[in-house]
Amino acid sequence: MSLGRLIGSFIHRHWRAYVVAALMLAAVGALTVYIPRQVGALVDALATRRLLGSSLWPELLWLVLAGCGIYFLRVGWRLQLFAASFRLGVQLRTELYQRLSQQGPSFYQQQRTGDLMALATNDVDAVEMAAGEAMLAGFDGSLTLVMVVAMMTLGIDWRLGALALLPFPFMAAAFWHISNQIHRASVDSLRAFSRLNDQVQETLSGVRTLRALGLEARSAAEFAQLAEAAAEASLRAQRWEAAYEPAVGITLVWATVLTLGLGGYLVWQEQLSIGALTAFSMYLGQLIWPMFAAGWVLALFERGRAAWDRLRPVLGAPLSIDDHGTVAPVQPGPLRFERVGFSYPGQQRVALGQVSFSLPAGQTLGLVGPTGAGKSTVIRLLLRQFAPASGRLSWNDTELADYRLEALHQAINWVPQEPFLFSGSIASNIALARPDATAAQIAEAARLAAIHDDILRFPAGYATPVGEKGVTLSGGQRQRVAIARALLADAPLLLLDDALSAVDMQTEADILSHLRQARRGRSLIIVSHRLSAVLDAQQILVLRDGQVTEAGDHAGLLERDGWYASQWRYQQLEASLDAA
Amino acid sequence: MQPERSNTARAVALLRHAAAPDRHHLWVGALWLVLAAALEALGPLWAKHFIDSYVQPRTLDAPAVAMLLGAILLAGCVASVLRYLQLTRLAGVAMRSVRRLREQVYGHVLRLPMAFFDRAITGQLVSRVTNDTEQVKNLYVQVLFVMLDSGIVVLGAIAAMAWLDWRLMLIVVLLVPAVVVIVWFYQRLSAPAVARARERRSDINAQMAESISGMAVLQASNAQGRFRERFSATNQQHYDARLAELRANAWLLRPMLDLLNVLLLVAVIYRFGQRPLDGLEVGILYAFVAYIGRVVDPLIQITLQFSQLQQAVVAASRVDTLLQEQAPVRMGGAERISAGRLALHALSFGYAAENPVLHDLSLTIPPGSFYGVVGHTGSGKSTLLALLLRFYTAQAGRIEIDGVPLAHFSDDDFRRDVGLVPQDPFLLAASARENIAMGRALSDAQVEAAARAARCHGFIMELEQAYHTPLGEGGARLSVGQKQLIAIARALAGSPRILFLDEATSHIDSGTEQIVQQALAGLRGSVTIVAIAHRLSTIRDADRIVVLNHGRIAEQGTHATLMARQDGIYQRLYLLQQLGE
Repeated sequence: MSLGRLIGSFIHRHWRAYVVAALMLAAVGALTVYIPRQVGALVDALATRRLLGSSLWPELLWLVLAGCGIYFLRVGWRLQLFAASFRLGVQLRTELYQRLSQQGPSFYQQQRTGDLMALATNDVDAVEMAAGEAMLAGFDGSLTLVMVVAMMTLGIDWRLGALALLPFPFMAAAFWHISNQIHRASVDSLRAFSRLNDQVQETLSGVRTLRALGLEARSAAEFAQLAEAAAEASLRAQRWEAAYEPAVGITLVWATVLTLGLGGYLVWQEQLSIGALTAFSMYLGQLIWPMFAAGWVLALFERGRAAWDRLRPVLGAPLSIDDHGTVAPVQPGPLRFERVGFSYPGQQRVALGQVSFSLPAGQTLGLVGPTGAGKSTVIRLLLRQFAPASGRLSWNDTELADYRLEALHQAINWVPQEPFLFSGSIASNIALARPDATAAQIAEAARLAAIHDDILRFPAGYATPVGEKGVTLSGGQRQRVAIARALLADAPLLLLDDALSAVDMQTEADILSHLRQARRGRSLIIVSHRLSAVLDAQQILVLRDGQVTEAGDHAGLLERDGWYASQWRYQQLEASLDAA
Repeated sequence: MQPERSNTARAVALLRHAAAPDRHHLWVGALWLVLAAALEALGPLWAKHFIDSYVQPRTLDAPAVAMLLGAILLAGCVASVLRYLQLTRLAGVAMRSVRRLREQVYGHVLRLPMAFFDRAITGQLVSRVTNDTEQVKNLYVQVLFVMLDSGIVVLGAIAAMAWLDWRLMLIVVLLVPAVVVIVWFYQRLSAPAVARARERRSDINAQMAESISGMAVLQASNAQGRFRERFSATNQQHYDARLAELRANAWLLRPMLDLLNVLLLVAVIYRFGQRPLDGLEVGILYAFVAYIGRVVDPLIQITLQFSQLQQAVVAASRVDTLLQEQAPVRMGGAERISAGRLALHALSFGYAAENPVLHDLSLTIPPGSFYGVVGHTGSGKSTLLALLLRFYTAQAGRIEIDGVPLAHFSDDDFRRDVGLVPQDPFLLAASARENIAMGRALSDAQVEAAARAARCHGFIMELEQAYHTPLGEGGARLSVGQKQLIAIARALAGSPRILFLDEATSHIDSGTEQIVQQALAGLRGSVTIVAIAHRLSTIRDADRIVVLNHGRIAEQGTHATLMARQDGIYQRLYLLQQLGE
């Protein structure tokens, strides 16, 4: 769908607002051209002393009425048209959000957050401007142009009109050129500004190195250079902005002189009245706006189209998670991986190769191994963030893909490596998956996650806001809030993806023992770098390069004296140093 | 946030100071603008003259008419060009002022003590240096552009009208208070809506950003539907706020001022009709019609600037607060480092006084010796280095070099005589030579000697332009190990008396590590070396190894004696590292 089609379909949907606005605009145009005409007539009447003193009143009243009429009509169309174009912005933003909320990680891997953000703000704005301001200015401008030109040529004198209009195409061309240059210069200026920003960000975060190596002077010089580039680019934009001045001024003075010259001659020849000449001069002033609008509208449409071209592929991107399963709800049962193989999209490396295990309901599985071994990949496949390339993944003998996604998400709780807190109160963060939970339930979950006491120390307890505008939680606190969130949701399967890495070992042990008690009979998969976390698991798998290299319980694995055993000794030693 | 009066005054002083070197430009620009406004005001005057003297009385004096029309044309064109030139001149003043302000702030920030950066949030600091100064730019541009230009145009038009007919002019002047009142009302009505719209707008951005980063969690919690509704609600609130803003705008701004324009016209024509007039004067009416248009628009522009102005002053006062932050007095003294004996006397330090990191540390390092400092995470070894580099001052105790307190050396001397090899080599996008010389006036021989000592002469010579080979952004062409060797050469090039290594071998391969070890061995006796080490093999051959634990010296001795200690910390650290490999 092109931008024109988008705007067309939008206008079609809100045609009433657009028709009303168009009618109002037309009426404004008619009244606007009436005013100089009436002023001209009055000037003539005064010049010939036809009207004097109080006899002027009725004639002036028409002017006042026309002025008031223009006022109300203008207010009217503004409200109509802008409200409609704001609606388009709301609609686009909502649609974009809706679409994004249905996309899975493979979509997000291809997009940068910053780009998506820019889409939701700048690009939506640009489309909105094209549908609102540009439509309006385009319609208003062309209408005014037609009416004013008609009044000048047909209403007053076509010879005078033809001559006086000569300079105006020059003005339109200048406007078009200037507005393009301003756009280009402001893009440059924004870029220069963001480079400046990057440099400051970089230096200030590395201020230690900078100082240790005595690089201050160099950095200041670099900054000065970037600041100059930013000033330069900004100045170019300002300079073009200033160029509107002579474009209007010179055109207008030419038109005025041509009008006075030929108009004066015509008056002298008695082919034109002095009032008509005055009216004609007023019309000249009214032509500035249509000329400006012509350049501006083109630029806005250009920008709107570019923005729409960026928005369209994202709005139209196929959903990366297919949700065609029908089975719901999930009945707890054994979880089975049968020779599951997987590679991340666009990567050659095998993330998981032929991984098999079976986890009976109610048992705990530990997944350990070096970084990049494929531990988190197991979790992501379980969450159906990605689909396995080969093998079979089943729960209670039903393939995972046959479950409805929503049902699957209800049956699985996941605490990711990087816990994510949304802005809102701590309570609402814990109750993310169960918004109907009572305060007591929330507090209970927090207590089990060993975060209750921390929360009570915050200024407003459970109501304390977190995130962007709230308190900052430490890594360990964030992880424990995420655990509480999972505990409250209380699903048949809990996935802890290195979820306690920032918590000290004692607290970790406490939380795990709480978990075991509270979740008796339900399954648990723990991914951890710290082996102490999987100590009590019925099954422990050691993954290396996507393969299961060792399997068994803690005692059995120690006996095998492989990676697990040596890692265990290492961590024991490290713990002794921490305690020293 | 409303700044206090004194803050505002200081902010304004700051702005004036930044613009001071361009003051003459302001005066000159203003004078030219006055001339331009005068020339512009002449147009309608001459047009009136043309109508009243030639058109109405029907006197055809071709040369005079041509002269008059030519004068109007010329005056108009000259005025336009003049205004364009002055506007760009003023824009230049604005940009240069902002640049000066930025450089001032940035230079100041770079001088602030390290403790300041521990407290400060980098994002906020960056925003002070860039965003706030960008806001200030608006002030210069608006104030200089609009206030000066529009103000002069309005005054010029009013003066011309007074010249033509001062009683009629008085009617037009009534417009000024009317516009001020209307804009005041507008600001009052729209300000809350504008603020609300802006707030909702940033909520939309925040929710969008948050949802994008947390989408996987939202989906796994089946919460995406709820968040979608919340987003829609915010979106709707944003719409409502914008509508409120639109209403204030529509009822009070453009349409209202155009209405005023018409009413003014009516009043002028009415007054005109009240007086006994002879037909000769009808040109005045023509001129007034032309002037009224020149008063209304600039007046709107001027009045609309006040809220911008307020924002800019708030931004300027934030910048000023940062500038008020005390920069430390430059350290200094005539002392020079000679032998390079380092001594710590009962040194205690904490980033916050109630939470000490180093306790009562005493240590003497003889000149020319090689000391290793090791410890587990959180032992305080990095903090010790920060004190040695004078990033912080100890709360108790002191550090001396050759018996002279650390603070008595000037910055330049200290930097020349003390070399540092940081953990991550920091390479400039410049040639190998420049990366070693780092702006110091070193001869090629000195650079090469340093490179040989750091064992990087060999691979530098293999580069296609040897020492003049550009290394690319961050030394992109070199391996991590090679970069580190260059960093060592850089530290050695100034022939320092003391060399600090800050975990310099953490990220390099063991082959390069051995080269580093050889280089350090070659320096033995001539330079005091203190190596904070993560990798114990690097300091295996050190004269003495100091083991820090929880901010205290727990053990010290050579590698052999420390390894002989049963269950010692060093021994366990060593074992841990071997297990890790």
